[in-house]
Amino acid sequence: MRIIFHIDANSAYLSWTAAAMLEKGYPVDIREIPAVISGDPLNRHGIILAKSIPAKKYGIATGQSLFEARQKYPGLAVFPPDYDLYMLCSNAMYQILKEYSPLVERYSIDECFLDYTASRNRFGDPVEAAYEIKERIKKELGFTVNIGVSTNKLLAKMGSELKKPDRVHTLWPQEMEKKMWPLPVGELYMVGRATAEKLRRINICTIGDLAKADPNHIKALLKSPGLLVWEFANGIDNSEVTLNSEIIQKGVGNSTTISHDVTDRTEALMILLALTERVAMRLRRLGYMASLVSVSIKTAGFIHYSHQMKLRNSIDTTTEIYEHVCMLFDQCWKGEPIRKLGVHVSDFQASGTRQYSLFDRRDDEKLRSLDRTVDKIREKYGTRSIIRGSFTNGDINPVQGGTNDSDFIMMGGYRQ
Amino acid sequence: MKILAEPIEAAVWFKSKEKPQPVKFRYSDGEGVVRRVNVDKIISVDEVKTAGIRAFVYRCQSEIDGVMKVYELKYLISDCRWELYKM
Repeated sequence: MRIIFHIDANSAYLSWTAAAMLEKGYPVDIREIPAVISGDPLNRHGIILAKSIPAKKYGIATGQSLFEARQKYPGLAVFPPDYDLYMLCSNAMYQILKEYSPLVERYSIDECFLDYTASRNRFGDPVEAAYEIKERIKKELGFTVNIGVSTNKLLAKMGSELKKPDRVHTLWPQEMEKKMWPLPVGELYMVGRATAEKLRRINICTIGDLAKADPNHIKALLKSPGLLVWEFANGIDNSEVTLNSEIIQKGVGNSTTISHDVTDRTEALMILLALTERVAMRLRRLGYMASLVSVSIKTAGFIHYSHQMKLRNSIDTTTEIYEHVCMLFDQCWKGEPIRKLGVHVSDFQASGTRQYSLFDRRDDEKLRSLDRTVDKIREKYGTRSIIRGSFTNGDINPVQGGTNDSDFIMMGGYRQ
Repeated sequence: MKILAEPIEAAVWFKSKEKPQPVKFRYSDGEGVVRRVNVDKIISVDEVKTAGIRAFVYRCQSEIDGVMKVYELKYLISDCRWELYKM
């Protein structure tokens, strides 16, 4: 039998900010007052990224706009995010976890899975070890975590979400009926708002209802993910705790919400170039070449559309990717004001070996060696140490997308 | 003792194999008076990692204004910076 832990930092961004502020002599623990971490509303990034537990009592939730949240509680304390600090906190937590098992998967910036199966011989009872980890993080790093202990990743994750904060929960398969099945179906991992609504329509309201339903029926309703969520409701999950270095990435993309609505084609293309810089750099660092390029646009009216193209060959130079991005943008943009732009590449092939074609650019090798050099300079002296001439004396940030210049793993958890 | 986290100027003795040792420092107290303090005694040194920020905290003792005081200095490793942490 496997033993898996899921470790989840409680209101991560907020408690990390709180811990750092207390250390700097700030008189109040912002975890204990209605407080939120939010982006800057002037740049139109004013959404709630994290909230304290007292703020939650006023109905303030992650993802709401700051404006909405202030209407619910006018005296709300608001703090900006500090992504460099969050990376430090996340790394420190990961380092402690690594002492207990070589198999730790960083699922997102504030969540990890830990395979405790083989560690049992060394550290003993899993529940006691979980308490020890929880207490050590609290004492050494100054923030609290929830730990779920079970036999697979799904149950461990569901366990850590039971009651917060600062707790260890077991959710063994035999406890599933008592602890997980009474919960509303929307609480189940992979069941979002739309799926929950579909299930409610056929009178499935709790996770237990879903578990007891006929899997074929659920599959007919939700198509192939139906079987997966039915398995999850029954606590079935055979996925392994995978080291992040072994996870195969299938796509790279970045997007940015612009502080004003863009109506000018040239400006939109400049922003796309800045995004392409980041995407191409990440692609090359992974050692891949891509053969699918896509551009996405969100208009001022919150309508989202995207356009993509499959290439005959694989590319990884910034210039070539950007040429396709421009083409895609011109083909799909209908001229409306733009709020958000994104660039995405996928369909990877390992770089190194490559099929030459008659239609290759003549300056292909030149572009490659230019990119290699720029990447090296940026790695050594910082991302903005060398930028394209077209960005000089302009207001546009020459490399866009991502929250800081390191590889930032976003909140919220994603299937890798 | 209260947390001050006041950045200070410090003279430090970097030892060959041990942790750096503060010798004297300068801080401005609440009334805006700049005080110079010789570190008479280091009682203990601890490594801390609060919020993932690595630092050494020195518990020290000095005579300040004729009074024996215990206080804490902090060396922020990644910033290479000293703070009067608690007094």
